[in-house]
Amino acid sequence: MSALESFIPSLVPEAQAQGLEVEPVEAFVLACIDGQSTVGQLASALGMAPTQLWQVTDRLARRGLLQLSSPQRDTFDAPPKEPGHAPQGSLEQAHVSGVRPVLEGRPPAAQAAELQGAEALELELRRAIVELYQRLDELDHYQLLGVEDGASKAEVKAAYYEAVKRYHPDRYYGKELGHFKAKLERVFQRFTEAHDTLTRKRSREEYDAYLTTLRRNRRTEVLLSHPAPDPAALRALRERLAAESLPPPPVAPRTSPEPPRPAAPPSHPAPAPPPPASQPPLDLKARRQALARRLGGSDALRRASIPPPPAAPRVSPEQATDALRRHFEGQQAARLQRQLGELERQVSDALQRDDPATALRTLRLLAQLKPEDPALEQRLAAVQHATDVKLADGLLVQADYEERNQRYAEAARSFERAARGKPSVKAFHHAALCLLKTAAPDYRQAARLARCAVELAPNDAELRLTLGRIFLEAGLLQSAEQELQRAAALAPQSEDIKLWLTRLRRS
Amino acid sequence: MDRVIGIDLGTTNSCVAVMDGDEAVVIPNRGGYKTTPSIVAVTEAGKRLVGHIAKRQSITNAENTVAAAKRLIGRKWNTAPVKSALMTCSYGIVEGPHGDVRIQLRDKTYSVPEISSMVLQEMRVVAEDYLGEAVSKAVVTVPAYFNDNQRQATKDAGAIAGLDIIRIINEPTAAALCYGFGKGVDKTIAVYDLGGGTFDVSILEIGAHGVFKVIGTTGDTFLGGEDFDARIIDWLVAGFQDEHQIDIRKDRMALQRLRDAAEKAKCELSSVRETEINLPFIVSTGRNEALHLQRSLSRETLERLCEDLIERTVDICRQALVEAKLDADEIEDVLLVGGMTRMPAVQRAVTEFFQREPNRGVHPDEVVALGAAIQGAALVDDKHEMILLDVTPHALGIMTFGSYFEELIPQNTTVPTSRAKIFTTSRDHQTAVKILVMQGESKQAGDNELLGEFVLTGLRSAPKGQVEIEVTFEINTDGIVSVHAKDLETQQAQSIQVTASSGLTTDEVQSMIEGAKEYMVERRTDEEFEGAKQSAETLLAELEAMLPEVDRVVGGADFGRDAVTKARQVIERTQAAMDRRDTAALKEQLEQLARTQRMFKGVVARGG
Ligand SMILES: Nc1ncnc2c1ncn2[C@@H]1O[C@H](COP(=O)(O)OP(=O)(O)OP(=O)(O)O)[C@@H](O)[C@H]1O
Ligand SMILES: [Mg+2]
Repeated sequence: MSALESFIPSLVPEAQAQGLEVEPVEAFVLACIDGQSTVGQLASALGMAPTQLWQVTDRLARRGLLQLSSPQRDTFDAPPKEPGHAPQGSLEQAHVSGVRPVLEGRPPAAQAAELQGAEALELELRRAIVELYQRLDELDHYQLLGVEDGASKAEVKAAYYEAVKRYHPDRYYGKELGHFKAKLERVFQRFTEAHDTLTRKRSREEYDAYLTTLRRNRRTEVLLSHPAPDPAALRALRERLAAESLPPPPVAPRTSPEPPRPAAPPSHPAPAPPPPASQPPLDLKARRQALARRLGGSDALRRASIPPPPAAPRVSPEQATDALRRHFEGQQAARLQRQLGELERQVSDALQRDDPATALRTLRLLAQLKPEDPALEQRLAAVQHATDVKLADGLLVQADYEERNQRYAEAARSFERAARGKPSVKAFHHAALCLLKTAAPDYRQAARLARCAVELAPNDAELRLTLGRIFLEAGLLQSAEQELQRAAALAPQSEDIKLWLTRLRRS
Repeated sequence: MDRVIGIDLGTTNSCVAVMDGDEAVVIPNRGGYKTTPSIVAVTEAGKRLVGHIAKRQSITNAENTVAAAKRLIGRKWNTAPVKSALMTCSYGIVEGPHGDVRIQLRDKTYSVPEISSMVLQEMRVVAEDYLGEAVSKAVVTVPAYFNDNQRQATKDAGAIAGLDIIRIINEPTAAALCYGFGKGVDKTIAVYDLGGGTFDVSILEIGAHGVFKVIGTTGDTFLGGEDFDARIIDWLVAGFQDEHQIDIRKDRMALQRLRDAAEKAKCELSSVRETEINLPFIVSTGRNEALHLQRSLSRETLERLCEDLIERTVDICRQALVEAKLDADEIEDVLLVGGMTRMPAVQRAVTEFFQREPNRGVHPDEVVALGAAIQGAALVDDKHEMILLDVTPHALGIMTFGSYFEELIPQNTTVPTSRAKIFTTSRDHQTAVKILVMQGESKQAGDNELLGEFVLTGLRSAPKGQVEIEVTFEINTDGIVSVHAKDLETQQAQSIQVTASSGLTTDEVQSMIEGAKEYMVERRTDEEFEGAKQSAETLLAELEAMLPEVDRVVGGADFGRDAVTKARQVIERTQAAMDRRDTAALKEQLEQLARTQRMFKGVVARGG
């Protein structure tokens, strides 16, 4: 990605634009700046070439009307594996190697007190242990081991063996380890879990599928909860538009009403090639000046190559300005139209692929460009619903994995959310069951979920049994009795139900 | 840095090794043997014998000789293995005060850990003699399939022997350590360990960098060479019964002779195709007529008799692969460990199952002790870069309402590890819960091994199911299991370390340690005395034999009479010192005796 495009323009709060001379295009750009979108994103949203927009923002910045902040590695910067697919604001891409989990750039999380108690270990090791220990739940297996998502079995093993040699308590046998012993054991256990999951074919497939689903679900959830245009989509759009290589817009007002000349002659230098993204954006000023010089140069070049305008009938300056605006607006409209068509196509493509999340994202973009279109609003609602349903399916897959791995609190949440998007007996029932297995379950919620399941399948004895059990555990004996009796009536042979009935009688 | 010895405490034989530089070496005992029979006996004089001496007198003193005590260690009285031992053992087994097993030898009962401690102590002495220094730390091996009670009992045996067992490791794992240590091996291997009493199969991954990771382990703690011997004994007994209508098993001495002969025949048939079993005068009929047992046994017959035993080991191998989620062809090497793997039929079965020739590079009797020594050195010495990751061979959990077993830590989980689960009360207004810590694979709690129990009190009085108790199991790096229970509402907590359920209380272990210490001192002086006594007896016998002759030659002369009288005094004083068991006095008399003997010899020579 070009570094120029990733600068984020924002308004300078104290600057007064009123009373200053601004051109219409400048005013338009100023009005659209939200302080979040990058130059690239704005360019695609406004239907301008990024270079053109950059020029405008640069000009405004030099006049002190806006400021350009340097690009950050922001949340939509996708992990290397799956461009544009990382969940927003979560899963940090920090590469925590099993060997050196010291996280550069992070404030030292370990408090001084926590680092005491095992002076026989080097401070750096103690710090690494404490930090790793604190982050165990937040790292996925790959991050923990410090390997790529697609790492081979041998790579996983090598990373694991390294970690073992550093974190197994036996390495420090006979040394006073204090509270570090338990921490090392816990860290080791987590490494082993990661290794065991990733080195067995079946469990790795399951885990990978889970991780993909989890990431997709999180992304969709974010999408559904923030109706702002999705930056990743904006970027994709921008790239496509940039590929069309739009002709540069006129740089100075001309008095000719004629249509603009065709594209620049071959001698015209192409827009500056984007500097490598890895280059630190510190030389902002220098680059800006270079750009200005180049643009100035090209201007001169063009002026030199353009023949003088033929003598034209005199027109008043008002007329000329009007014509210019009309021309500019007409051009803008045409481009917008083309874009709308493109976006429309993307929406139907996505829907055809059964990818409502992408469709939703694109529709939102469309809605931005075409506000207050009732038909569009309707479609938006429909696609939003489709996304909900799709997310529900994803959440069900995620929940299954979580339940199988006895992560009941997470599973209960996933099942419950799945049921919200797409009510089903299974989702409601398992949400209730998992909830029961968590620490201090919310019985009211469990009962509500189980009741939903019962409503969907009133003749399923198992559901009634679950509901009865919840009542019993919550101490609502009468309701429990009622449900268990119904369950018994539906399935008179069930040993399970009989067992619970006897338990009920005894309470 | 303390030296750590490695001890393979076997059912039949024990072996001790130590790290010598970068290499582990087996320490031979005083007789020059690299293994020592795990046999303990008490003589008529109350003397304890261990090892080869004990084995030698096992026929004449069958009732007071304990072999294969390992089959009983850490077991409860009313279990099948103990019942079966009761039927076949030549020594007395009685119930102990905690439902445990005690062994009756002459007028004393011993706990099983005490018997094992005598073997451990012997191995320790072997090492001390060799190293010329005191040894106090050891890594001791147990069958991988041993449960926690058996492990704990083994630890108690170490404590009684005055040994600090710094780690208990599994026998097949130890074998793998010896196989892969310092050799840059990077392989998935299987260890097939068929010893005298137990069978284990372990699957391990040996990684470069010296990480040994056990993937899975299975076994049978009551399957080994003893069972093969029993088949031969049955066959001999049945044959004898047919011929003479006499059950020779009834006679303890005969049974012991049968046992010896059976084992000998079994071992011989590993190298020859046919062998003679010859036991003259095995029983008397009571009509003053003695009967002999004489039969020949062929390898084919032996293999037929033991076919199902071998098949059982193969089934267990299959199970091990399933649990490790591997196919036989993913195993890159197979180690054969234990004396029984010398049997050709066993080797054939293993080759066929794993579809590869087993590794011949390890010594089946020594690898385990060597591996234990390696682990010991790796723990105390940073120089050896080796980490062993073993698994828990049995599931751990608690008993829940209705006598069900609720598993918390599954079988074959890499340790250290911990797991938690939430439980609730099963009765209304229940203010205490009893946590029964169990180990095993059965869904029925009763079929599993009880490791310990404790009570969590002070729960809120509420309808059943309302109070939440979180139970956490933890196995630390040293293999110690601890269990915590916490009332999630009041945060009231209670926990135990599962350490004291080997059938002995801490006090008992303490008093046994004291007893063993005294015995150590007693034994050392005893040996000295016994040695002196033996020399004295030899000299005395010679002197007595020469006396009449000396008398005849010099009896007439005055000086001669004096000499004879003096000699008589020396003999009397020696006798007295022997009776008093006075080692110092006896040693003094020994010199006198030796002088007298030299003089007598001279007289006899001249006079003759
Ligand atoms: N050549 C042989 N052929 C067959 N069996 C043999 C041979 N040599 C030894 N054995 C048997 O091997 C067994 C002893 O093996 P080993 O010394 O490995 O057992 P252990 O370590 O004492 O027992 P465990 O490991 O079960 O506690 C005995 O049953 C013995 O009869
Ligand atoms: Mg053995």
